[in-house]
Amino acid sequence: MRVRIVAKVLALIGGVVSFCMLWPMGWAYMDKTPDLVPLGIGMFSGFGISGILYLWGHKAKAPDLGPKEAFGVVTFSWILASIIGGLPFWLNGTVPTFTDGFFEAMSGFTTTGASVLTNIEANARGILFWRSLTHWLGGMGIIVLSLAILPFLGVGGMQLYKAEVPGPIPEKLTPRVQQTALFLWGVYMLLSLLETGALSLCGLDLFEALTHTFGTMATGGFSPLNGSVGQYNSAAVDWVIVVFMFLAGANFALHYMVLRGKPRMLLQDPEFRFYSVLVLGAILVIMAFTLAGGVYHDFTTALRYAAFQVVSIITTTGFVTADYELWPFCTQLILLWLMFVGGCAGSTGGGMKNVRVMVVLRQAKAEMMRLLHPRGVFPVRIGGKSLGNGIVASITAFFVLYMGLFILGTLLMSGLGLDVTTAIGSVAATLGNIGPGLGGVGPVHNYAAIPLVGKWILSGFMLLGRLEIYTVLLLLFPATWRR
Amino acid sequence: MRVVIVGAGEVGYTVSGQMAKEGHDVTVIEWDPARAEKVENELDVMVIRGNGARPQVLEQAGVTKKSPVDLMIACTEKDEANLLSCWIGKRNGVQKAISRARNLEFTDSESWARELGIDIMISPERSVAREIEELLAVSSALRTVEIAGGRAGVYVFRMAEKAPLAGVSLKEFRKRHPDLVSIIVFVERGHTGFLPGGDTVLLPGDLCYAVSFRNQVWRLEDLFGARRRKPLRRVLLVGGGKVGFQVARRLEEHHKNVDIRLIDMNSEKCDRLSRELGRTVVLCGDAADKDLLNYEGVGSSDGFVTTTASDESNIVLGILGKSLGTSKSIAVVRRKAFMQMEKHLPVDALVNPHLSMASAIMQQVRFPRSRGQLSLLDNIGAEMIEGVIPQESAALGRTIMNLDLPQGIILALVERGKHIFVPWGDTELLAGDRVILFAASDRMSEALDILGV
Repeated sequence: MRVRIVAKVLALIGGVVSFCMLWPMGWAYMDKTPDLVPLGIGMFSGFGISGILYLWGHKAKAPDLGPKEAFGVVTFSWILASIIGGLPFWLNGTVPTFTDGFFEAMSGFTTTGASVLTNIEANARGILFWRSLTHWLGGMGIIVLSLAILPFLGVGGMQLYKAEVPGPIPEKLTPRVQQTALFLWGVYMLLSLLETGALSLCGLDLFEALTHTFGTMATGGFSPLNGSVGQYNSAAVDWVIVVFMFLAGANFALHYMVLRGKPRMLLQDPEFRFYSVLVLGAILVIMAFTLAGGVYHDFTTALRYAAFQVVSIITTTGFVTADYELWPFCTQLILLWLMFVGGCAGSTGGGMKNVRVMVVLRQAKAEMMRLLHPRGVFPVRIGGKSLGNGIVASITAFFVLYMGLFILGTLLMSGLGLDVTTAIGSVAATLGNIGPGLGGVGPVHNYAAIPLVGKWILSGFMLLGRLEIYTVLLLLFPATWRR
Repeated sequence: MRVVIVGAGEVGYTVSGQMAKEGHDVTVIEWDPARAEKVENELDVMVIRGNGARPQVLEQAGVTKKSPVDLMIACTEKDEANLLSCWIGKRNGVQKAISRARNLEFTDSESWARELGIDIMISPERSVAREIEELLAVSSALRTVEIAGGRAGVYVFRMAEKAPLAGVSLKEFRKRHPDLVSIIVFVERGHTGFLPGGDTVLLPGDLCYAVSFRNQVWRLEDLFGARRRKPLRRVLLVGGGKVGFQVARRLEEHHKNVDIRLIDMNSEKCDRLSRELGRTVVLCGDAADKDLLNYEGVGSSDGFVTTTASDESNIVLGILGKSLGTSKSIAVVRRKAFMQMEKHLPVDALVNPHLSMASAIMQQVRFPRSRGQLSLLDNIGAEMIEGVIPQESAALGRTIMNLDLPQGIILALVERGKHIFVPWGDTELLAGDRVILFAASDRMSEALDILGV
């Protein structure tokens, strides 16, 4: 890896992230609240760090990024963004330590939504806006954002794009990667605008409409309210958010196709169909159990709460309107499984992604067919198209790695003294970028009580989950660092 | 007529020979020296050695604007070469260009031929795949030929011993089943064949050529005393070439519950096939491996189709399949000599992909004004042709009885708008009717004259 080139590109991305702090500073300036200062310091330290990196790296030849450098740039830019982004929380006193600030920012950028804040509403609007804005920036991806606005990243940009965009086979929408990035952000902004409008119609003010939109469209889950979305106790708000969470969990390339006038692409897409069926099925089952278990007594209430929780968990958003820990235990297990499935490839959601689950299931079926017909040739197909053996193997390996990391994480967390449910819940919720987990980190609790080391570990898991493991793990290989 | 034929493979050779025999001026372009020499030695045609997709070579063969060539037939093994030669030919005054298209995409929609400026594009693989599908679906039929764009067909049955139709005259047959749209157009008895009249009595053992609709064929099967038809359940295909692939694709599309298994030896081909086909189970192995065939259920299969590139393998494997218990064994055979062995082989049916190509080409030569398909029912000495009655036809306004059609000509079906029916003696022909005519080979032009087709 040519470290200087990495440093140079990192400097640019760090600059972009720091620049974005102007927006929350605007809120702070309007409100004349003291959080203007820490945000300002955060922004200028961001520029400072980027400047140092640039000075160190600018002598490197034109940024022709190879695959190795691309992995480095993507992983380190997320870490850099979280360092810069975490500073205001710490400086403002929102969180007691830098670790907490870093955790909160990482949770924001990776759209996890796991918070260490106990009393959220005690904070000024500027800092809360920044907290939600990290979601929105990280949702479509800070690299994709940089690709869209920095044209000179185009060279080697596909490497960066591939390393950041979720899903086994990132697709380009147009021949030029910059244009693809622009279109993706365009669709993202359009949907965000629509949601902000819809929430405003439901009676939310601009600040709350925007912050909730950021949380929804990025499938993040930070809310500026202590009681999350449940605090509104409004069916209209719930349903608007359910719809947009569901859309954010689908492939944005498909949304782009629909906007281009090909709505049938959406219904024909095998992953979208799988995702829809899974969501509907889970909602129905959970409704049945909650009604039978006496949690809810009428159909519409059960539907509303089941739909919100299911969509929020499977899209890895993590908003809550009901304490699902009070639901029958089996419904909690269903939610835990949905945490592993996650959103679709090319969405802002986390988890393993529907398409990977589909491939693993189809692969299992193909293996059984092979036992039945020893001489048979059975390709793994998605939507009639067969996948190459390389992709299937890579997806199976991803599946194994994901589960392996989950087990490792659970071990580490229980080693730190957490009880089993909390350990499982916290790792599943951070690796899948969901936010609320089970037990001590359940929907009505938060991550403040996790030990310091645990917060670093969980931050690592959030990064692994957002960048889909390979990108991050590669940096642990010495071969990646060799020239 | 001046004819240029590009490519002297199996199809090219046959067609060139037939054309030359009928007295046309034939020029053959062939690149391969051995093939060129064979044509030169055996046929009375001119041979140009070279690549038929190059303007200079075509010019040498006489394709120029000054003296237009009447017919050009491109039938090499390569689609690209065929399309290109026809395209060059059309721009150099060729009246009619016929191209062979092996890749099925080109004949999937008719617009390709039109857009490429080629008059007729024929895929022998497609028509033979269709025939195989029909033979599988109509399990007791020995042969079938498609007519009226696939809405009807000629089906060949052998009359069973105690069949309801045995010993019945054709007049009686029509009287007993007035609602059955069907007509028997040819009968093969022993070594001779003839076009039947109303008094002809059908006997057990007769090979009967019946024109009928696809959805009524089952009634004919009953009348001919065929074994009770069961729905198609399992089909084994051997060979994953164009024909095998196309048969599998058609079965997947039209027969929802059929279990299709395709065997090919080449593992790369199997990989590709398994990716391109849907629910067909692709097996990589040797079709001569008895254990494999038994394991994959050849014994309980309703069809065993051999479609490899070699005629001999297809015949031998077809016999193997039959001996292992398949109900119907079908072999793809390209050489004429083998086709004529049909009676001596324990295979249920032989199909020939080159026949449809040759028929279509011969129709253009013999009856250039008739539209639609002509089918040579090869070894029986009778021909079938589809034509549209034109405005100026002398047959308009007269009943069929008054047309005085000579013996040996049968007006089998009339297609009027959406309606298809078997004409009676008092049926009047209208302009625009599409007629399907059956005639002894030497009577066809006479019949066409009478109808003005």
